[in-house]
Amino acid sequence: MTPPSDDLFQRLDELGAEAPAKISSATDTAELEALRLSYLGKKGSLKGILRGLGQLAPEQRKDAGAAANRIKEVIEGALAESKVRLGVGAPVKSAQGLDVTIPGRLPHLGSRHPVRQVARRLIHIFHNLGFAVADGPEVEDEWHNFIGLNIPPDHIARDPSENFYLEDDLLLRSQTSTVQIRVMENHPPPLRIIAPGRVYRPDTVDASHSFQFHQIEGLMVDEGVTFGDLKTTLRLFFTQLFQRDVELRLRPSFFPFTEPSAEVDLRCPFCGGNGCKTCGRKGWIEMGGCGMVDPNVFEAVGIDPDRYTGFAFGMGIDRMTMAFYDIPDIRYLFENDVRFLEQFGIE
Amino acid sequence: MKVTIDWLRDYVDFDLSPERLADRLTQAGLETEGIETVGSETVIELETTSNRPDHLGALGVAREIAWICDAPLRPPVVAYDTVPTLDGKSIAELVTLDVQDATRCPRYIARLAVGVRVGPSPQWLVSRIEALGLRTVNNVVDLSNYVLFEFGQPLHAFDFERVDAGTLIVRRAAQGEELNALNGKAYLLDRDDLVIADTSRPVALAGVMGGVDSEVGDATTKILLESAWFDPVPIRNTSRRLTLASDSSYRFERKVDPFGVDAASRRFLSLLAKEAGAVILEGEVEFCSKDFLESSRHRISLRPARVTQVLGVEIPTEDIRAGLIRLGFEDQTKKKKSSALEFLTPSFRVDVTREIDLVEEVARVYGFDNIPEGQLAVRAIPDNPIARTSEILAQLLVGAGYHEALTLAFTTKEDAAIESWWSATDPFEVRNPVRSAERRMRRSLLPRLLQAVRGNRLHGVETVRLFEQARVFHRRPGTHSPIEREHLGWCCHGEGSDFREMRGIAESVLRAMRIEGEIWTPVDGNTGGFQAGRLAQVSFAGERIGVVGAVSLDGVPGDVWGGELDLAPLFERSSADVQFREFSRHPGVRRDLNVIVAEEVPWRELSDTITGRPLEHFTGLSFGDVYRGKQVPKGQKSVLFSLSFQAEDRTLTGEEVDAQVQGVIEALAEKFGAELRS
Repeated sequence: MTPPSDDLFQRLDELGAEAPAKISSATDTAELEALRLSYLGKKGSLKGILRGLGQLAPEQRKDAGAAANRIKEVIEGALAESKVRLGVGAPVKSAQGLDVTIPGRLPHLGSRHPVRQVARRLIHIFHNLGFAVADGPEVEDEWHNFIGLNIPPDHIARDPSENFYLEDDLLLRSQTSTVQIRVMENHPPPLRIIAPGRVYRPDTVDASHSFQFHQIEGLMVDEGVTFGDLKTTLRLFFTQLFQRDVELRLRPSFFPFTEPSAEVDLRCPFCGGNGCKTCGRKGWIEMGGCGMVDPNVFEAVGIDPDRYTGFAFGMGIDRMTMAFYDIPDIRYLFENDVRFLEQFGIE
Repeated sequence: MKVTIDWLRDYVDFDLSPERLADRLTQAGLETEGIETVGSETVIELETTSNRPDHLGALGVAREIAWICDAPLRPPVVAYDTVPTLDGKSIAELVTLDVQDATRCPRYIARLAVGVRVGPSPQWLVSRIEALGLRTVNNVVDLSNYVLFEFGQPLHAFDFERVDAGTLIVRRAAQGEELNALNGKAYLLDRDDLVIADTSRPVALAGVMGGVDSEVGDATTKILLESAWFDPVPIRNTSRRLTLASDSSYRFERKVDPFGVDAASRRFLSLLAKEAGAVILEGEVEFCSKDFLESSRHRISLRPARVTQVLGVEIPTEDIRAGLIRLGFEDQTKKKKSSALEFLTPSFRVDVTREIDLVEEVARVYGFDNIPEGQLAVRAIPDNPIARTSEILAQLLVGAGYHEALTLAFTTKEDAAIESWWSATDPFEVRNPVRSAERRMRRSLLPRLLQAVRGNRLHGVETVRLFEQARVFHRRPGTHSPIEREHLGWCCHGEGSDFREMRGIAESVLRAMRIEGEIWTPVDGNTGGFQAGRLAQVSFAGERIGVVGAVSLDGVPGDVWGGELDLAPLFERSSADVQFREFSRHPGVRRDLNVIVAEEVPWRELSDTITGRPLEHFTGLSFGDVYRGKQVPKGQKSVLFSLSFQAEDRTLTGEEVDAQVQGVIEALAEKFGAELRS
């Protein structure tokens, strides 16, 4: 049989844990009063417990009394807090007449665009992984947008209907992969860069398409860079991004500028893979493409493909932004309605 | 690409649920889009990649399952009985084939079936055809579709009686030649199109669609069967130009299996014999370019060390060999001890031509998931001053109450006036704009920002402050080549917005970049897009770096202010260096003054006069306000400002300062007739 003392102390502990939680979730004053009576009233729990005091050894009675008092204070404190929370019994003016209930005067702050906030987050994470930001022009030529990337003249990706051609062989870049070529042309390995930026494709505008959008490209080239390093980089990146362990799936795919190529799927961090709106009930979210730099690309930029290896990856920033903030339509991102923009605040 | 589970089981045994199968295929590079039930069939829809035309047939999918499950593949039956002649004539005597463009059509096989009974398809065929989402037509059409979805090889069945002289000519279309296609539409062809013609007219648009003239109908009894290989690019060009895509063109565009041309033809005929009572004439009429078949298979060496170098995992040579053999690659390694393996690619793997392609295949068999992670070395990276400065500017604008916008980079003709501030040259134009008016690449950020202000206003947002840092597109002086410049644009409208706010933003931006000494000048005359007389430009080191002005917008009451800075020259001069300056700890003295001067006198003349005086312990002049109104005579204004004095080493006395202030007042009185207002 449990000694009466243990039993009594345990019941006090339980009361001390239960009462404040219940009080702080009370939704009106009547409920609060009912709780007060049930804990501290004449027929309340505390009194009930203390009735067992007589069975204790005298030296334990003192401890039990002190413990009961502490619990009582805790309950009274919680009751007072909840009264303020529910707007009763709180003072509204100081003795000198300062009305502290008047709202503060807030500075008129603007906000950062959600796409830029996400881009910044990505850049920051890759910085920590040793990737520097690189840049390239948005008006590109066919060499950087296609030829250097091992996309031959007859490739579907080069069709006029898939690109914004300007004059001569100029076009608006259709992917940030162009920066890979720009960087490798001008800098010898080792290289570790990312290239966030605007890209353009003549897609008809709808809830998930815009003819101007944002990508981030990554590239690492050195002796001894492997597919395993690519996996490490992506896992570290997503772990940082979501601040938790992530499950990645690389599945074989095809891009002209990488071989082997893979699509990057992430076990949906929003539903844990059970299927939700964000992942289209698939449990996996497609995050982008990646692969080992194709030897033809190295040859195009004059890097020895036998000596150097590298990986590249690309992701869409707009889609990621929409997933993060649950934005249902990509058009919000470019409409610049203040009521949209101000929701994202500063970062 | 759709295929049914049942169908796949014709070729390979597997013990996987549809979901598990979908999963395994996805991991092998054949992504599953969905699984659905159509009638009694379980259909899986696969998303294939453009480099794997072999996945565009059930047999190709079954091949993947065979290696995944390590099960043998059972290729379909392609044998049939034949008769040597029809009315005493062999196929060579009945059918003439003339391939005039061997580059575009390196292989063409024609076979003849007679005694065909065209009629409804058997149930098994209807079930599979409908599971693919196709409509059943008759046994002949359904079987040719069936083989297309089985081998990935398109076939075409002509009604032999309707092909003049039994002659098939593969040639370029004549300019202006017409074809009435099976879809009921007439197409006007040109020299770039490849056609199959008989002696009098085109009977099919090669690889894309057949013609109605030679279509198989209920009365057809003799079928002339085409199976061919067409060059992908012209097929796609024709298909695009005529906006005529078909299951055939889709496959030819991606290269069909050169060897499958024969196999698929035989497969069709074997089914036709069984399901439509056809009797097949022995042999075929075939054209095949020299070396076409040989060159379609590649001999590739693979160094196991290369596999390790790329994947970062050492896979035993024997595993590499076994894996590739499972995928259908033929091991041709000569010397047992050789460091490189040699493989001959199967003809259906048109995508594998190089060692690195084999490395990918090895990775696929090994499993991307099984490749262990590598160790990434730590590396420090240099700071990027432009990125850092841009970040500071954005924070500054946000602190000043501006919302960051992202606008589209396209402008219209109507935007040219404001854009002309930045560039006199023609803008770059896209040839195929999504919205026809928005075809120009922006030369200024303001048009789209102002449009966003207007949009907000029309949506009922009364106070709007927006900014954006983005690129504008100019032409390099002297050439037509593009040059991109980073600009900062900002707009304000509504409560509190005025010129001083706009100028204040520009000044804050410059100060944040540690740039001082810019010059503001009013712009009169042509104010392109801005309101007359309410525009200023700012220059630095002799170069115009920015503009600030008021704009009137349709449907927006009041002013909208727009400002824009070219950050390119500023980034060059911007500095992050801060040097501490000692400051006095003794109390200073400030004197507020209020003078009345003529309206024409600008602040700068007043301030130059003041700061040009030899003032002692003078620490600053600050502008207060300008007032016009009741107590100020017409044509004049009251200007409020203050002067500050502070000594490094002692507390200044009022007398020391007052004498100097008196001097200032007298100088202003002398030069501008300024009167001190009490």
